Amino acid sequence: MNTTVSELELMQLVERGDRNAHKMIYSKYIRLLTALCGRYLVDDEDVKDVLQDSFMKIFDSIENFNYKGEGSLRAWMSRIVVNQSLDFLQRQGRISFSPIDQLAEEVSDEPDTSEIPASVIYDLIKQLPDGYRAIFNLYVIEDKSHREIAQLLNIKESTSASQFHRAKNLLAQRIKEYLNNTTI
Amino acid sequence: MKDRWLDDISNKMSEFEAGEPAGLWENIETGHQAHTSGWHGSSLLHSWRPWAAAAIVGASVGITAIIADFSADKTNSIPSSEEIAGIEIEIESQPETDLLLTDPRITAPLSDMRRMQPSPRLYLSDDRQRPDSVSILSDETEDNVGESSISNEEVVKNSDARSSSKKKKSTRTSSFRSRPREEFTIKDDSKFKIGAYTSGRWGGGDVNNGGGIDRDSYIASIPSSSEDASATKLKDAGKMRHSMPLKVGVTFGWQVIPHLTIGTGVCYSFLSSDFNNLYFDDHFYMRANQKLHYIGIPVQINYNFATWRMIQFYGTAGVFGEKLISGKVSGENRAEFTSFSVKEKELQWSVNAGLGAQLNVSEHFGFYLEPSVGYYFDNHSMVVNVYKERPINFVLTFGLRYSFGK
Repeated sequence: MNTTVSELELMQLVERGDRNAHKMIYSKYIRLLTALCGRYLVDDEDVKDVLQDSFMKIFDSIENFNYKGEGSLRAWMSRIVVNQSLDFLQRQGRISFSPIDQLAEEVSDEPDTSEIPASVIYDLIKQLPDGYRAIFNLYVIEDKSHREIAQLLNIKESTSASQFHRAKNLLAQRIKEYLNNTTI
Repeated sequence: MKDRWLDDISNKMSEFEAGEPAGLWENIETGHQAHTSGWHGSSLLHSWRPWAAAAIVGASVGITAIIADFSADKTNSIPSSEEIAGIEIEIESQPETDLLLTDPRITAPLSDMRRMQPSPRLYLSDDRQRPDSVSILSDETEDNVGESSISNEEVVKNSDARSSSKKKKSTRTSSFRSRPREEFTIKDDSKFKIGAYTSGRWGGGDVNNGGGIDRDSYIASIPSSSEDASATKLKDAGKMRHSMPLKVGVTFGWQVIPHLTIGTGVCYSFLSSDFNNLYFDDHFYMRANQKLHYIGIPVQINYNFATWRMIQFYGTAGVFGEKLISGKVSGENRAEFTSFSVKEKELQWSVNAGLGAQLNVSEHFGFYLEPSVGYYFDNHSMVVNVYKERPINFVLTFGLRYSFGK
């Protein structure tokens, strides 16, 4: 399936009622959205379930989507997957945060991630606890403010900031351990 | 400002792709087809509702017809005017000087009756012999055997001749079925009716108390100087709670045949909903409230089937079409309050059926109470409201009605 079709062309196909439009949209973004969902959910079956629900919702409402230019469709679909992932975690009661005594030590210098493959960083993020991972993803990759994260997760803004700080330290520690293991 | 390594992670993860889960597309395709074909669980649940609505309307009409038919049996006990004429007993009064007895109901002693002359005669206005007719005879008829041999035909002719002369008639019906009790006499004869009514939530009452409803997506149109007014945007709503619709309206009815009134009018409906965790575009609202204003025109049929003292009982059924004229969602994002408008191009149709009781406080005015059930058809718009979440609604309507015209 040709995945180089532009979003504009895809939306035109949707407007025309082309029966292949949905499959083309799926093919173009499934891997990207799988990776996005996988950063929030560790279990592959959970990822599959959430993606199925997300695409059902996308296809149900795509005819009313207001296309605003290249990238807007992807952003819209990504937002749906993120929301569905967070809803799943909250329903499972997995948005929780570790007590202070289990936190990683403070990392003084920044780790060098330039040589680390994206797949390794992806795996290291997946190793974070659920609550830390969600906040880290929302702040660093989804570019949400702590205020917005607090509203999304029904926590205090200060809690979001403190938990992100701890998630960052924990990830930095694990990146350094990886670097140490790879250089040995 | 993020650290450099975090920016690096962000750049790498934003374009990172993972393997497609096996069998996912097939699941999506199957689920989407089931959903659009009506075999999806929730769609199947909705598909029986139109039939339920039709059954409710049909049952109400049927019950009304049965009650009306039952009431009609009692009214048949009232003899028609033709029947009354058929058994009418004409009693010719004698010249006053000879009149000693004019009222056949007066029971006089036999000795007095003998002094009466002549005795009243019994005439039938037609030649029907009714075996249970009341006959009035005096003892002196025995002395008038010859006259009693007058044939019935001659009696009829004579009665016709006498009908043109001065005479006093005394008639009484001899219906041998019991007269209907006043309680079941249908008395509504006003040609026109106008009324005002209200129903729904006054001062409280939610459709969903506690818990709310999880809704996957919400789409509304946003007017913007930079966008087309009919543009739509997608939002994700976490939980919703809908208040019972509040309706206020005026009606005008016309009695087309006895007991059957067709009416129409104008009705205003107010719908309020509360959301939690509402996403709109790139903005997140922790709490939001939606207010929708509808204007509609109902077409209603009322059938009066019974009256008891000052209370009239009737059945009602009808159809209602309404249009969203104004809608607004106001959201709170911590200290920031923003709002956007809601638009809906589609009409909202519904059907309803119920029973009513009207207390007539005067000849023209009456208060009525009308419990009914309504079904709201899915108009496939993207506006989320109680009509879609709860298509079947039980409503109690209270109103004032003014009847006039004959």
